[in-house]
Amino acid sequence: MNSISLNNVLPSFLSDAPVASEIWGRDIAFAKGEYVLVTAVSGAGKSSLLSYIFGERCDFSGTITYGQQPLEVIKAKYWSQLRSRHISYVFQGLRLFSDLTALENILIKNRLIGQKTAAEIYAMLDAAGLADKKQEKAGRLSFGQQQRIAVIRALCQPFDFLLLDEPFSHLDDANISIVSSLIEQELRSRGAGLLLCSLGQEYSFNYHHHFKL
Amino acid sequence: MLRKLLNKNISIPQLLGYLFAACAGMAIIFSAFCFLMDIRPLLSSDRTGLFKSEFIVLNKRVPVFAKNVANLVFSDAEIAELKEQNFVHSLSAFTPARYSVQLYADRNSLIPYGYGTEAFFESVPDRLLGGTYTPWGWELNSRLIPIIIPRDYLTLYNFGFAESQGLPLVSEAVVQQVKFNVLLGGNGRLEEFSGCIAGFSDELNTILVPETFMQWANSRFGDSRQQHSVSRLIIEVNNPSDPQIATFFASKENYEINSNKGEQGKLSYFLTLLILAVLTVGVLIMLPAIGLMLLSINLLVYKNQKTLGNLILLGYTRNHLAGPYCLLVLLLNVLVGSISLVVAYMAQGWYMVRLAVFDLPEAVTSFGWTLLFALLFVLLTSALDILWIHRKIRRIPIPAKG
Repeated sequence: MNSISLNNVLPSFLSDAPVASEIWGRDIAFAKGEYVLVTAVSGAGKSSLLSYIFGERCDFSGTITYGQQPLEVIKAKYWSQLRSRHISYVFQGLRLFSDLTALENILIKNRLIGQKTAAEIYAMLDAAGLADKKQEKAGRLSFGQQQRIAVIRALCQPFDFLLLDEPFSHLDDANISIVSSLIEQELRSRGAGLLLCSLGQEYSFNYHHHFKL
Repeated sequence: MLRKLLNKNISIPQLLGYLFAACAGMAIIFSAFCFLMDIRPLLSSDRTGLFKSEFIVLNKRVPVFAKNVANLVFSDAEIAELKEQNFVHSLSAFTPARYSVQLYADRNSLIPYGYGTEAFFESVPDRLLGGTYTPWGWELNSRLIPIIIPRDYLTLYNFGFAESQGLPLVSEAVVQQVKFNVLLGGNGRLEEFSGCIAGFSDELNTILVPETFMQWANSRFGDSRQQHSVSRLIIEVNNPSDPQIATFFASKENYEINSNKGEQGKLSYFLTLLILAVLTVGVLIMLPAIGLMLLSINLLVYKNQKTLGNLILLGYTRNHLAGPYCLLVLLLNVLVGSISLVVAYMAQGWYMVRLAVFDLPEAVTSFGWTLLFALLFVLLTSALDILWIHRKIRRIPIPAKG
């Protein structure tokens, strides 16, 4: 899948497209391989935008097209293919399973396609400073640690686009740097696109586009 | 891992509740089905019935002072009247033997040497016989005469004669192995034949031989001057439950029809009704059990809705997620089915001992049918559960367009 296009997309909670928004009510295309930063204040709809693209919510008007396929014609069963092979998403709420260990949370994603070997997963956990947290229940980890687990989990699948929703909100600069380089490495190896939503932070990625929501 | 997530919130008491209720329901249903299969030969007319379909045997009532045998004979007009009735499909007469018959034991026979009796033969058209008797039929020059005797004769011998005389009891199978001599006389001739019992009849109090033999023997030994008279008729009816039959014969005071079949029909009907009642009880227990399972599935999917939703967002298909639940109900139903089959098997062992006197076919065969029925029943129940699981998981709200 080489592109994701938004045509006149407007969330149902907005009656008219805000004049200042560079995304709502416009025609925009995100191309594979390009890094895009979307910034906005709280409540402007950053998470909504990513949820719409990921098919988690549909309370909007307009059209989203994946490659050549408009969202309307995507049947329910193809969503699983889209979510396991083409688009990966680090949710703002993380959506980890608190009863599973940190490692199990990653493996439950990885076993869908078998993208990474156990050694590769261990290496990523080591790099993210979570080597000793592998067998810890996710619910007992700090939010910052959970964020890193969620990012590693998102990297354990093939993807053309990586969606990040305020992914480093609870990380210190050192950890942001480590996790960013992990992400950068995976993006480059896949030639994938990045769509990062933040409150204004730009982090260290070399963006091709910067939109204000 | 997936199972660990999905099996969370499974209620063991609910599953145990289903297990007990479904075991009780299925055990009753399987046992009743097995019983039905076992006694099927008693219910159908195939075993005891002489004829292949529905017949009425008709004769005239013997008056207190029967001076003239002609009173018991059906006239041509009476036969014509019968033929005109709507309920009559065909009408045939019994052919009596016009020669003397003596049966006596062979030297090599199982019957003690010296036993013998005078007897008589009758015949009915071969086409009326169901073909269940072997050997049946007779060919010219054959010296073996197959004979059908009333089952009551054997009962009389076993429980009346043999017991009081200290003679051994014999089963139907043994009697069918016995050969004896038949001496036919008449028309200045006396000839010896062999006889064998081809079968037993519950409906006709007569000794039947094949029609072809009777025709040949009557022409050879019979008095050709003797008038052929019809005193007993077999009526093939279109529909045995036709009320016209009862109305017609009620108007004919001197006609007598065999009521044996009616009584047997009633007994079969009540026995079938009883088994159906037991089956209904089983179904009535089974229905709430199935309901309990469906409700448990509802509750389980509802409680795990968030987990299931998150797994769908991770890229799991809904079919994939339904898998562990389907496997669980399948295993549970197989367990319930197996326990119930064991109960049915034990029940069969218990009642077969008590039904041994009826000479029923092998229990293994009917249990095979029960096994097949149980398999279908478990598959159907599981299919219902599985469809329900898929339906519930399909409805987990991930509001994706398309």
